[in-house]
Amino acid sequence: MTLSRRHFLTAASVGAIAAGGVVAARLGPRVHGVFAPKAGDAPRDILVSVFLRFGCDGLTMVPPADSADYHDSRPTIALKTSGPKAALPLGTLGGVPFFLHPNAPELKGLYDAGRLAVVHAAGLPTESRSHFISQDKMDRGVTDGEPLLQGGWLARHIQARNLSLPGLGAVSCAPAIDVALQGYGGAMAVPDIKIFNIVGGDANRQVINRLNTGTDMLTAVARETVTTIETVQARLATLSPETGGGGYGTGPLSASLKSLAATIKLDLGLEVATVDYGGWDHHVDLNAQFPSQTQELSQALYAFWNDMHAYQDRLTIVTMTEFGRRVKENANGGVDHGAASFMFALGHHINGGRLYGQWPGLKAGDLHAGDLAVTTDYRQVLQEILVKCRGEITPQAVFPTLPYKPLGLVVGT
Amino acid sequence: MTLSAPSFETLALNRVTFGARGDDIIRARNLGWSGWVDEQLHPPAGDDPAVARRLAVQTMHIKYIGQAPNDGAPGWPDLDQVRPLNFLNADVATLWDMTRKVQYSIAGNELMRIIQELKAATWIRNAHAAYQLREFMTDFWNNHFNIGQQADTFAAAALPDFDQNVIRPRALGNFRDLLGAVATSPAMLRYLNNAESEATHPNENYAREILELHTMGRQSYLGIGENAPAIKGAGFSDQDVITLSHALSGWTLEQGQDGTTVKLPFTGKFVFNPAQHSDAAGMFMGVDLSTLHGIAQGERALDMAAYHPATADFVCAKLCRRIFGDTPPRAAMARARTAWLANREQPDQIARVMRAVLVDGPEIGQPPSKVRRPYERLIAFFRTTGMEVSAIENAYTACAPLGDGLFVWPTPDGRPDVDAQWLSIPVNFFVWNMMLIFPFVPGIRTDLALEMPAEAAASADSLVGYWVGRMVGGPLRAEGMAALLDDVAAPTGAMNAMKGGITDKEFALRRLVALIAASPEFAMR
Repeated sequence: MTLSRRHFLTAASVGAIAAGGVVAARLGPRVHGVFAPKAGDAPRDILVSVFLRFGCDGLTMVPPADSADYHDSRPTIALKTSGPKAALPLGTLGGVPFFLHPNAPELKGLYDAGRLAVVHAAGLPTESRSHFISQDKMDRGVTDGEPLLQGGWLARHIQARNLSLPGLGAVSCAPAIDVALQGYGGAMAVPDIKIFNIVGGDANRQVINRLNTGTDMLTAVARETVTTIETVQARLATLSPETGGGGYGTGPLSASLKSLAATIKLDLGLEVATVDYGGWDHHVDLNAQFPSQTQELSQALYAFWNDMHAYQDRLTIVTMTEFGRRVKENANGGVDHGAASFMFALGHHINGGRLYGQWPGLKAGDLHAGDLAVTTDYRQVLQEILVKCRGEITPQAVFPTLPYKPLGLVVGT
Repeated sequence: MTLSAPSFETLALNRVTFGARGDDIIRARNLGWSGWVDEQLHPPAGDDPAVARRLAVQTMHIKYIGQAPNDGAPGWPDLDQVRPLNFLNADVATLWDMTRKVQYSIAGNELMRIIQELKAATWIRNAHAAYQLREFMTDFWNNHFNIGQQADTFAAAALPDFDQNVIRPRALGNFRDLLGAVATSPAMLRYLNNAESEATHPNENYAREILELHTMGRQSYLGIGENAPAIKGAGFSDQDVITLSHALSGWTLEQGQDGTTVKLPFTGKFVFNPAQHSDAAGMFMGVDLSTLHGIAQGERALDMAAYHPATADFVCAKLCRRIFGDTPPRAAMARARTAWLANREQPDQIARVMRAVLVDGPEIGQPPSKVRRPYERLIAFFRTTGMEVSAIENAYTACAPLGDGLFVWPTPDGRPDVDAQWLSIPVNFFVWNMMLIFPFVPGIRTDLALEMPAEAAASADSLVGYWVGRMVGGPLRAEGMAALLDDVAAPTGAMNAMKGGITDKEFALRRLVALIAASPEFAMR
């Protein structure tokens, strides 16, 4: 690590902590104030990063279902292009036709409408096949050989843009602040906005507010915390039920995104959010679990997109997973840890209805230690989205070793 | 019940422990402050007997699914068991061998377990150790020589060794000795890449951080060195970093090096490997290292860095910030620096520095001046309410999202030790809720009704007075006391429970202590 880089990052993180914590606390939401971007600021999409944790298989989500190599590698679990569970045709990449999992008709609809793009053979270029190590690297926005960057990739973005976000400007829809947002002092974890409260509710909140009577910064920030909670509670009470006709599934991603949609509709200035959807570790009997999880993914994203119709013109959603699975199926009808997988990008500014990336092929000689080779660094996708959707003008502060090479995934230059 | 202002002992103890308990205060009174400090500065080696017993009986659940044999990898079976903290005292060679087999014949969960056990032990030690000053200093040095578990799996597996064999025994010892132990530790040599350094082009990572973070500090950095000759001795330049990287090349570990001249096993043991050493070190901060050879070059360079006056300035100021806050008293810093330099070759140098700071001046008894970080607040909450901490699998991630987890700060600079770091909406939200939730978590044992004397339950005034006095040592601000009294006296408040009403007594007391812990008085030390 060079001196200058660490100096920069340290200075930036201290500044951001001041900005995100203390300053945001002062400028933060009040009952009668509505957050609006300051005049002159570059417009910034609401960015939702969805992490499909524990290794989602890209060859089942977006299979080359016509390919003989694919069927040879996966004689019992490969998806077919005809019959009752036929995969849904998307288009070609490098001359190879690709399909979408049959349980994702909603995503197919968004793809056909030009809103959803697929990046294939994308992922983390790494020699690790450990969930924990690879997830951590992806959350932090790094790859092998640069282990010591401070904070997560979204935190570095907020710091690099020197954004003063309000109290709920950067949110993880989880019990804890996601690593991607760690290092930004203002990030909040909100597993369910309906229970965004001090444990024990009003009575405890009122006592804590009175305990923190004072004129110093410590008590000021404490009271601002209480105010933020009360603002949320007050606005939740006036919020109309979900718009856009519902349609959420019954799984955990639907619950997270429903809560996130409500949080966005509070108009408290949410700009970036992380959402987890785990359970993709299909070592055994892939076709027992994968279809229902895909259905949940498809329904949840579609329902969220519709629920957000008033915000769609400034909304971008990106999905990632720490690795795909081994190309060859194992003896249990499952697939072990692999390398490349896929990413989805969904939004008003996405050049959707297309596949991006380079298809490395599935023949023995194409594989990287038995795995689908990573031909698009996941950071390249995130970088383009940050630059074009979030006005990031110093992408090197977020991904220092990655040259800016847009795929053309997002409208504009 | 009128509480008087916090006593000297309360204020002093809170500054250098994980929370002043009643028995600490009594001991400090009985021995006198100077006597208490002396006792604490010379602890017997290893855990005190009560903590050792506690650690020996801890267990944690571990569960994962097996992996079938595949492509020649044997895989591993399903596991679901409750297990003692077996990795805590395993040697590095054993843990490294395991690390190599992860995903091949050992589940990744076993790797996570190593760190989990260390974190569990750290919670228990911080909360229960009799020698609190050693806990305080171990925490300080772990942050000073920070190693983030994410950087390297072998460094992570060597963290129990780092904490227990490198830092703890030297936390109150000699700084040069500590620096040398760190420089030969598997965890640090892996974390900052010196183990991989090669003679042909030594890796500068560790050398730079030794000078910039571990010894002389950033303010002594002179840049790329054009001006270095003119202000020789005032600091270090880039050229000194490069020279140090040469001097320290070959300071490595047995990690299976398989060169033409040397073949080493994979044990993680420190070794000076001449095949990886560059003898090209020349002038280092004005001293010619080329007259020395081999490991002596690095030893001499570490002497120079450790004994440099800039190191005394940098580390003493940092230590005083840890004790006193963002603007530590100048007199205390000056005493620390003097003691540091005067005792730089004494085996108990650090203890003498602490004594100079804590005893040879009045500052330690001043009103609170530092914000407790989230982890400190949580452990102080346990200590001051008499809650007992056991090993809990997932508890240790509690403060991590706030940037205050154990062994997870990713960069070698460690957590910033400034109040602003902890003045934010998320910190308040999380810490308040943690203190409302943790008393109900299995693994935190508490019976608050038994902790308090019967007469404390006589009135709202006595109940609030007892717990505020015990946790804070003095009164809260008037509005805070009034808030608690109103709450306790409310129809379904804690007094209802004390009088045998419908309110659950233990629930009411746990809630009361959590609310006290959300006061600004408890947030400061």
